[in-house]
Amino acid sequence: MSRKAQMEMIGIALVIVLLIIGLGFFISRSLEPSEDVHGIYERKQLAQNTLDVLIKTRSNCRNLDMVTLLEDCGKNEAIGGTISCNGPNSCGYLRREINFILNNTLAIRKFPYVFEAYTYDELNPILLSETRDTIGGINCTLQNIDDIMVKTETPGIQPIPLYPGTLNLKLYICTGMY
Amino acid sequence: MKQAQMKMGENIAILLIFFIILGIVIIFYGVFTFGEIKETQREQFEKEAIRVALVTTYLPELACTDDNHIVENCFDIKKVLILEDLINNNNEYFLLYQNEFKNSKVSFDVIFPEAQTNITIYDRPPANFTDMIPTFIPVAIRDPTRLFGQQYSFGILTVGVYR
Repeated sequence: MSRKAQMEMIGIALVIVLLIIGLGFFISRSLEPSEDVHGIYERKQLAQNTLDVLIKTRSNCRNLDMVTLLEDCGKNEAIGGTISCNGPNSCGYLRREINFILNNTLAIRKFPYVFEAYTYDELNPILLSETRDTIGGINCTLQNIDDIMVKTETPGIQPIPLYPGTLNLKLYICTGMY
Repeated sequence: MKQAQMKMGENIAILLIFFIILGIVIIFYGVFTFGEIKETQREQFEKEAIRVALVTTYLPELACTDDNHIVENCFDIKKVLILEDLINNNNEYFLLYQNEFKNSKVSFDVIFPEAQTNITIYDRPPANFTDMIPTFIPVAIRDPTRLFGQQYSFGILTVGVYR
């Protein structure tokens, strides 16, 4: 092969290599997952706002607000609370109504969630509400969140002082699986 | 003469290969750019949805106030009902809010403890819309006519932006 032909071959090879690098760059950029700006904003405010509003809300148990019932349930967990709400005591009432509120706000709008209220042991909460929705075949449950099997957005956190102790409310919104 | 013909043929072949490669690059670039434009449009749409949601969340005319202090994440039900009436029955007000909300729908759902109710304060869908991004914001709905300590209900503010 003449020297000129060799030079031409090298030139073509160089052009092809440059093209492959360029195409690789374009492909890698186009395959990057785009940021879900709206979803991130929505989920971030959703968890914390839900808890902020929840504790303020008036209940239909003697017209007391939720925070009063939560305090009673947290202080008297062993007997299920001392305030009677037309049948169940505060803990039973909260279990039912928090489930109702979260199902009608989050679950109905396809936001799988886990709500818990605990004093000492996070994995053994006084109140627990979970959706039955799955993400990639995995349930959005407290156990799966603790086992790092389900991804969540930053949780909503609301501590309620009990004197002594604190009742901690946490609300996780599941976003995907690991 | 034969050598010149061969040279010419070689040049034509090189030019052909060059244009084929150029064509592939142009097609690929076009597809990529089209994808980028669609992605940018989607991002702009999402940002518009966030903007309208934020504008609504901080509407001073609807906010609960305590001694001139605005209570965050709280809407006064009486103010909401008055604004609903103004926007839906007075074209001047509708046009005023159209500048803020554009093609969107703003509604409140009272979830608890009352029976569930819906109040739509603004709705302006475009003639042909293909998509809508809803933003759900849990809010406290306050009824100032009730006794102190019994004023708040659990509600959801839904701000949907049409496309």
